[in-house]
Amino acid sequence: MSRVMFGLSARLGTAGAILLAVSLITFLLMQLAPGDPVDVMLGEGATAEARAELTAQLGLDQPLPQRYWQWLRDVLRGDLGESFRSGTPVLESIVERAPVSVQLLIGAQVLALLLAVPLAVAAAYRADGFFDRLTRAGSLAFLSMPQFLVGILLVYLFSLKLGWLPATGYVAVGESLGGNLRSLMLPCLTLALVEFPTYLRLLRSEMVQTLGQNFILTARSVGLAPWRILIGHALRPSSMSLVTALGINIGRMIGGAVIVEVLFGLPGLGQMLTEAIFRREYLEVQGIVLLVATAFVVINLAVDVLYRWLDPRVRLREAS
Amino acid sequence: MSMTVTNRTRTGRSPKPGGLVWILVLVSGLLTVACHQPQAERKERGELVVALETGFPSLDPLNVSNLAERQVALMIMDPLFDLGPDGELLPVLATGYEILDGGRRYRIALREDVVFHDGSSFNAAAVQVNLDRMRDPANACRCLPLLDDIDLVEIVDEHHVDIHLARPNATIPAVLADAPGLMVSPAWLAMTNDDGNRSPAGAGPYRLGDWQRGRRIVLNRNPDYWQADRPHLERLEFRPLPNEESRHTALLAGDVDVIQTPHPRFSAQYADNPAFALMTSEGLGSVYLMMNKREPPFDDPNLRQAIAHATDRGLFVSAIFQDQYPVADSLIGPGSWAHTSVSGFPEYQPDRVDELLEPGNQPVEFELSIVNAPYMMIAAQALQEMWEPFGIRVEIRALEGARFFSNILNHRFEMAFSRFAGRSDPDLTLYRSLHSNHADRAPSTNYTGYADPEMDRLLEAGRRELDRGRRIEIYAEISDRLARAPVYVPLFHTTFQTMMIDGFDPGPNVADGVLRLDRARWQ
Repeated sequence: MSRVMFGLSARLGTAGAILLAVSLITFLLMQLAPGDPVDVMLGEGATAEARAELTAQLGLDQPLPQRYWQWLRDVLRGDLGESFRSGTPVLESIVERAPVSVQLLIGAQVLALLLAVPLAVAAAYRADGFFDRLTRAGSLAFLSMPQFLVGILLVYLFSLKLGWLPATGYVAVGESLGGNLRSLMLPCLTLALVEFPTYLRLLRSEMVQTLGQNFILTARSVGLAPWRILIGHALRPSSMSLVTALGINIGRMIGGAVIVEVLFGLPGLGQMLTEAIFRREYLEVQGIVLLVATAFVVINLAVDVLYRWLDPRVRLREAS
Repeated sequence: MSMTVTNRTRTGRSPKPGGLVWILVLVSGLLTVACHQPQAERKERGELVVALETGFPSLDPLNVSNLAERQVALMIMDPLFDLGPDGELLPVLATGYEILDGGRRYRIALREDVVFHDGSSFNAAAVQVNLDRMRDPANACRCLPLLDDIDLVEIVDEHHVDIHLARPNATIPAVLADAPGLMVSPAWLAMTNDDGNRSPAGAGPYRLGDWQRGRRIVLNRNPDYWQADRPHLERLEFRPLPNEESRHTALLAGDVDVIQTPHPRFSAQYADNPAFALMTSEGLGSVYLMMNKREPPFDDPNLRQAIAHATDRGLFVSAIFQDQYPVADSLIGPGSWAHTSVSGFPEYQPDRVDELLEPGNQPVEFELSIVNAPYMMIAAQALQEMWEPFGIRVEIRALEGARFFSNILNHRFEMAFSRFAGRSDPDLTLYRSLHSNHADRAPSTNYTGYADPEMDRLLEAGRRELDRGRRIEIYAEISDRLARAPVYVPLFHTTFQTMMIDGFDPGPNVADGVLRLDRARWQ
């Protein structure tokens, strides 16, 4: 087996172990949390007999290890269980909600990069100049603000004062592309404005270092235009930290997306998760957390692969 | 020293990487130019968008319980009876009832001209199927305790059913105005796949159009509705917006036309704004403090009395809820026919508190359990400060909703801040909360462990008595008795507020806070 294949297999093995651990921790946290789904479902006036019957019906009278094993076995078969309350398959609910969250996260990442990359390149181009100081101060301000505050300010400005964009609600792509973009603009911008400062500062810092390297001096000496030096030669080797941050930040953004979805009334996984926790829908919570953890692990695996493409030294190191 | 390109490219052509930002701004600008205020168009088309305070995972009548679920369900499924604006019950799919065998049998007469959305007829067999389904313990309906006394549902003929009871029970018509009375097509009930849960076939003024969980539910006018002149609106859209601030901004931005349960501060702020209108429903229950008399320190009646005297309820409602809700003396809300003015509830009397707490005793300390919500925390802190001058030290215990609920059901609290939403008959709330049969159970809705033989007698009398005038007297006596020896300190009556844009008539104002949108119209 080549070193590359071995490395990949090891990473896949680690990813599997992480997912197993996440599933176990989520399961235990939900089971050990006070509050009973039977109370939530039957309400205030249920008799002891009705409670016992429903507890048995939901399998909540089984020992914890047996319940976990049963759930895990079903998950491996593609069955995430059903909602206690509505009987809807959890996977069906996730599939229904996931596109909204995926669109939100991708949109936010794209917006964050569209803001961060040009500003970072421009700031590094004249390091410590006026523009550099301005972007650093501005980015620090956004970095210090929680998502909900940014969201409220954006709603105040763009929805209530200017009336340009809706304050809440979601329009599916299939119904209207323009409506879809309009409904997601503020939520994506909310997440992006909080995340782009991290990208900007990382990229700017690496760009400044890269621009001091000998190969940049060589490029300069052969008379290449500055934009060609910045974009064509300095940007790619300066992107390593940015790519790492993109992978790691996805977890933070998912956390932020929960708040943003509730704030903007988006029918995504974040909103579903919040409702499921309040209704003690164990299987829905476990299903969503498992999905999010899987996405996080897969994205970070993809980032590892991307390293090799971005930095020839990684490939050379693996080959030797 | 870091070297930058800056100083060495001054004569070259400057790159413009920031241009992308301007492109972004331009694109977003183009996106927003196309925006418009859709409210006028909705009005033109006879459409309405309503923001609800919670989502609705299921539209099966078995699961209908909270305000949002009831709001949507009542538009799709007509009930046998419904609550009217004066707190009295009105026949809907029933035309009336007759009490037989000294209150052990109710004969319900049914409307003859009704069809369900799937085309099947509404008749006695449909009523029997629906009620038997709700009574089946295997279906785990939250409404099960309401149906305890029903022994049998019998078909008399095509349009009459008899409900046989184990003992006389005056609450049956009220029960049939609650979730058990929501009628759906037996053909739909016979469906075994989950699709049924998503497309309930009722006999209501609207039919289910589109349902995207967490996003919206769209209802279209039922052209075959049995009341030919209703409904007036062509299309209803309900959006779940659990976040209070989101509901407020959605209304202000014109995303929605009506919002449920705005924060009282918001209502107070916009009450005089001509762009909006506020509808306040009087409510059937109360928000209260309850004390667990099974355990110290509230096993001491003097301390319970002292707490009542130390609570300036008028000041509390004014400061925290901007006087939007009426101060309560009893658990029964002013929207109920059983509401009477209560004499003898301990008023705010600082001198009396000092007498009751007896100087020299140990300082009073206890935990106040609340649901962890911002407004609850503010309310609890206000009470904490109000009682502090009397040497009463309160530790606030903010709990997540399910845990709070589980704790109070199992008597694991000292004092708790809770509420009775109230129902169309006071028995449906009070019996299980105050009867000694439920005091020593766990879980039990007799949260406080209240046990008093005289109260038991009154509760039984209230449930069995069929004469309305006599029942009013009984519930007045119950309220007076509770006021004289408080275990509950009512703070204010549950009041449902609905805020809407001006120019919309929401139909009748009913105490349960549900909008009867079949009678609503744009003006």
